Parts: sequence; C-alpha cells; structure tokens
Amino acid sequence: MGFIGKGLFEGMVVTARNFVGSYFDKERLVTVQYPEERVQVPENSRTFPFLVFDKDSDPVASMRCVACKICEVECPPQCIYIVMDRDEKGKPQQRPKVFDIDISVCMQCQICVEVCPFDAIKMDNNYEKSQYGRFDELVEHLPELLKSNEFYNKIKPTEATAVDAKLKADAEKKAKKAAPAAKPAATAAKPAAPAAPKPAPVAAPTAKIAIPDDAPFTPEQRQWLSGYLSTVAASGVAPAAAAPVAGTPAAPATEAPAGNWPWHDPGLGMQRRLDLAKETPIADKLMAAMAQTDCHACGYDCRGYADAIATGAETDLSLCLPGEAETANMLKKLMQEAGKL
Amino acid sequence: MDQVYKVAPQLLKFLSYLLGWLPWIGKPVAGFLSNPPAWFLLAVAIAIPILFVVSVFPGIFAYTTLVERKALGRIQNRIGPNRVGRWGLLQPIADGVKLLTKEDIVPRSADKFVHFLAPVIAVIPSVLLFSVVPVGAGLVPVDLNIGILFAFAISTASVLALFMGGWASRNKFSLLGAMRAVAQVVSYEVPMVLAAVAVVMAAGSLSTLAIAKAQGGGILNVTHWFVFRPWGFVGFILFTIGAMAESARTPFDIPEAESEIIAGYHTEYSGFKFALFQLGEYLASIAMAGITVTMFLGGYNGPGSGPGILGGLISMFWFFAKLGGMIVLTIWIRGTWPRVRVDQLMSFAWKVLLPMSIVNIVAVGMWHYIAIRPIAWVVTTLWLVLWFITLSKLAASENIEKREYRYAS
Repeated sequence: MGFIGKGLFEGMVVTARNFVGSYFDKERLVTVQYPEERVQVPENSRTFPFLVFDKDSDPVASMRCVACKICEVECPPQCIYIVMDRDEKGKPQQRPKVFDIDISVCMQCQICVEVCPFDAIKMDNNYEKSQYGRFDELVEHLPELLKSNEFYNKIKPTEATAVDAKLKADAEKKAKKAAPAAKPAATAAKPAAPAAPKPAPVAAPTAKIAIPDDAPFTPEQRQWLSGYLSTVAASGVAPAAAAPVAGTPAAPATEAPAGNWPWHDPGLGMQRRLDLAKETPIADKLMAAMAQTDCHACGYDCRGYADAIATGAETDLSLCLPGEAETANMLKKLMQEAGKL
Repeated sequence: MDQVYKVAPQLLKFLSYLLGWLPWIGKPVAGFLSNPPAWFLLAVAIAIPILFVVSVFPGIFAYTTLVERKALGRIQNRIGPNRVGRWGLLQPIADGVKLLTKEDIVPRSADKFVHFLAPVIAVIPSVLLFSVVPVGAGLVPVDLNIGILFAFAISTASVLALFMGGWASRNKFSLLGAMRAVAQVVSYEVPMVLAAVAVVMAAGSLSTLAIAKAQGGGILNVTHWFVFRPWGFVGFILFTIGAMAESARTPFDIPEAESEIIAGYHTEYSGFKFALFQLGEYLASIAMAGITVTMFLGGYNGPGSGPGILGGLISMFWFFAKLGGMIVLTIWIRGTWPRVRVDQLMSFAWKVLLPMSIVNIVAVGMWHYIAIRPIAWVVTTLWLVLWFITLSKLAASENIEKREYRYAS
C-alpha cells in the first residue's frame, strides 16, 4: 500500500527502532568510553617491543637478554641501542647495561622478536605511549622496557605459553646433556686446561697504539678505539710485526682484558676479522669467525668457545647464534683446514 | 492574570508568615505583606506570571537542548552527552558557562549597533509569545481577546531579528541565510494563519483561553480536542508543518543549513550572542508548540483537569505533558528527515499547504452547517481526502524528465 509521505513515516520507524534499540541492544551502542573503558585488543596485536624477565625479585638479574646485539644489528630502522654490561675487570656480564628503543623510530615490524634466540624481546600491545616531547621522552630505557614473564603471559597467553614450554624443554635438554657430559668433560677438561692458554698470544704488543689515559673517552669508546686503531696498525704493519710475537708467553695474554684481540669487534665483517687473525693460531682464527658479541648463547664467551673448539672440548660448531650459518660454515672450514675435522 | 490576582493576597500572607521570623525587618515586612496596598498587589500579580515565563520556559529550553542531544545520539546509536553530571544533567549549565566565557567577536566591517541589537530582538518576540499561551485552566499571563492574532504578529517579528543579524554581519553566508529566513517565514506564515483560521471559526474566538476552553468536555476531557475532528487533524498537520518552518526546525532549517551556508544568519555570532539566537529560536519553537497544543491538542484539557487548585495543577500537568510530546516529536523529526531544498520548500508551501488550508476552512464551514454529526464526519473527511489526493497529484505532476546520459555510460 502506498500513499504520499509513506517514506517519511518509515524513516520515523527506523529512527525510533534505533532509539529504543540503543538502550537494550549492546550491538547497537558500540561506543567505548575510552578512559573508563578500553577495547580488548586482539592477542596478536602489537605495538612496541619490551624485554622479558623471569623473577620479580630481581628483574635485572633475571632478564633473558644477554646483550648479544642481534636485534640491534637486524633492526631495519636501527632504533635499538645496546651496550653490554661489564664488571670492573671488563668481563662481560651477559646482560645489557644500556638498552634503548626509540619508539619514534621503531616501525613495529617485530623482526627483533623473530631474531632473538633467547625469547628475551617481545612485542607489547600497550598503545598508550603518547608523551609531551618528541625526543628523549620517546626513547624507552631499560627500566621501562623490562616487563615480567607474567605480564607477557597476561597480554599474549597463547604465545607466552608456547615460549614457556619451549624454554622449559630447552632447559631440560641442557640439564640432561650436562649430566652425562659432566664426567667426560671433567676428564677432558684437565688436558684441555693447559691447552687453553696456548692460543692466546696475539699481535698485541706491536699493534697496540697507546691512547693517552687522559683522553676524553668512556671505557666503551676507549675499547672500541683501541680495537679500531690496532686493526689499522695491524693491516699496515702486520706482515713484519705479527709473526715474531706469535710465541709470547701465554700467561699474560689470558689475563689481558677483552679487546686485545683486534678482530674482537662486532662491527667488522667476517672477511676483515679473518684477515686480522690470518697469522694467528687456530683458536684465534676460530674466534675471529665468531660474531664477537660475547653473547654466551653457546655457553661461553667468544674466546672460550673458540678455545673449547680448538681443544676439542666442544664439538658442536653451530652454537654461535649471532653469527648464524656464516660462522658455523666458517668454523667448519677452518677446522677442516687445520685438519682437525 | 485574574486568577493570579485572586491568589496573590493568600500568597503574600503565606510569605509574611515565613518572613515574620526574621529579626528586625521581619515584623514590619510581615505587617506590610499581610495587609498590602492595591498597587503592591497589582505589581505582585504582574510579576508572578512574568517570573514564571522568564524562569520556566528558558529552563525548558535548556533541558530541551540536552534531551535533543541525547535523543539524537540514541537515534544515531551514540550515547550523547554524559560527562557533566549524571546523564549529562548539568550539560546546559556547562554550555552556558562556556558560551559566556567565549570571546565575543564582531566583524570589523559589521554594522556594530545592528549586529548587537539582532540577538536581543531575536529573544523578545519569543518571550512575548508565551504571554498568550495558557499553561493551565485559566492560567494565562494575559488573556487577550485577540490572542491568536497577537501570537502570529509577534512570531513574524522574529524574522526581523534574523534579517538584522544577517545583514549587519556583512557576510555572504549570513545574508544568504537571512534572505532564506525571510522568504521561508513569510511563505509559511500564510498557510499557518489559514490553518489557525479553521480553529478560530470552530471556537468562535481569537482568545487562546477561549479556544482551549472550547475543547473541554466530552469523554475524559479528551474527545472534544480539535485534533479529533477531520478538519482539526488536517489543521494540526498544516499548523505543525508551518510552525516548524517558522521556527526553522530541521526539515525546514535552510536559513542555517550548515552544510550549505555555514550557520546562516548567525555565522558571525559567537559567545552569548549566539546563545541568545539559539535561545530565541528554541523559545519560539517551544511557544509555537504551546500554541499548537492550545489550538489542536486540547490545550490544558485532559483527564482530571478543571477549575480549582487540584484541577488547575492537573491541567498544568496535561499542558506540559503535551508540550513535551510536541518537543519530542520535533526532535524525532529532526533526527529522521533530511532538509528540503529551497525550491521544494517554496513549492510545498504555495502548491500544497496553502490550497489545503483553504480547503480546510471550507471543511470547517461544512462541519458547522451540517447539523447531523455522522453525515458531517463523512462529508468533511471525503472532501479533505479527495482534495489532498488531488493536490498531491497536482504537486507531483510536474513531469520529472527522465535524465538521459548521452556522454556518460
């Protein structure tokens, strides 16, 4: 039945239905009153990365990050900055002293999460990151980045459960491996122990270029600079100087602080590092093939892993996670060249 | 006012009883109030309705804006204002404070005096309209014997303020809005007055109180409402459309069509001057709703209404209930219908509403002279329906050419 103005009344019915329906039908009234109510974000949504720690009692000690810098290297917009923590002697502490993420640069790509071998960095889903400034305020430091594993389980239950299960399985496997290996390792360790100092000698004395003690550098800068300068010096004078020093006493070399090895710099390429270690014993060559991050993913630092391979205490050549396949292949090649494999 | 004049002495006596407890001034004031001179009684009798109109109706306006925003929100599946107070009940106050503290901007090339005067003049006719609206049995501020005529004369004066505002702003959008307002109000005045003529003929009086009284009686004081007559029903629709156009409510809000001419005549107004325009517009809308109620919906008549204090209170309740109903209807329409085009607006007024209102006057004549009610019902209904069909066919028969797209396919 049609009459003039029918559409007008149909419109009135529609609006009346909306009016009444908005009081009874939750589907209609979709408004979320933001500060009081929040939309439940999907579990797989992501914003910016955070660092996972395990124990609430000591977040810094129990954080999973070992400052291997894989994420720093892989990060496409290079928004991550990591400085490894060291004790007074310069010994790596397996954790970052500085871990900064510039969230104004971060593009939320999740690549850092995907490359992390320790499940230490994960994506948060907190979208309330606004600040009153554009610069320092948008850089997140270690204290803000550290979040507990419970928090991770809360925001992403499925993913976190899988990660927890995997970590538990890994730990069990390691424990199982360690238990039978303990005895042979102990026996093997004895002949290995004296062997270890042997490969230590380096081109250090010649290549060493003194940086004045009053030069305005932080320890990190000083370390990097000395490494850099020594590589420059080494490449220039290496043929003449490196060879005679090869037989310097072992004891002082092992005592020497990290950084006396010119290739021990994650910024150098594989080829450059191997060139620097050309005239050195097999253990140093092996070490030069590592990623130089001292990340301890293998269970040693770079020095220790190289020595362990050289002495035969460690037979697995694929443990260097930061170095990926490149390091593993190179280690294999070096061992074959040395006739040890 | 006559009723107020009768009640005033009792009221003053009560007041004197209350104030008698005050120290020092209590006694003399109470003595003065309990035995007032005639001039004071008159002043009080004049002041009470004025205070009533000036306090109650702006209050209704304030909460109409809130109800409108809430209802429009719900119609659009939103929540509407709910930040200030529970259910946003303090929103009108917050709006008022906001508008008062806003900068008052006057364009450099504006006619400053007229620009200032326009919002003031916009409010005055709207307030004056309430002087002839009976809010209860016998409760009308001024019982003019030409009440309806007065209402139309005054309501048309508001268009003056709109044009002053539009003209003085020296802004093309303001002027366009003002021109539209004048064209619209003048056009819709005609069918509206003619629709009212039907009621005046039936009631035999121009007094609003007499018209309301004429609709009393019947079953529960309801069946004699003019809206339940064929001509009254048609008149109600015609008058409501006219009233909405006159107060520029939504389907006819082309003077301030925000999608076309920014805000029309009050484009260049800010702060409380803007609020005054808004106040004038809403008050006019509420007053026209009140007059519609009085003329067609039985005014204050309803079950239980009548003389006396209780009957008076019940009659006030019915009046304000109906007024609220009309306000809700306008809000509902605003939330539903789109704005008409300017040419549609004009053709609708002159080609449909005007002939229909003239036909309606003839229907009232028939109703008056056909003594047997059933026959009168049939005859007037047939007459009106046939004319409505004819007119709507005529209005729609402008052959709408089917557009042929020669270049686009």
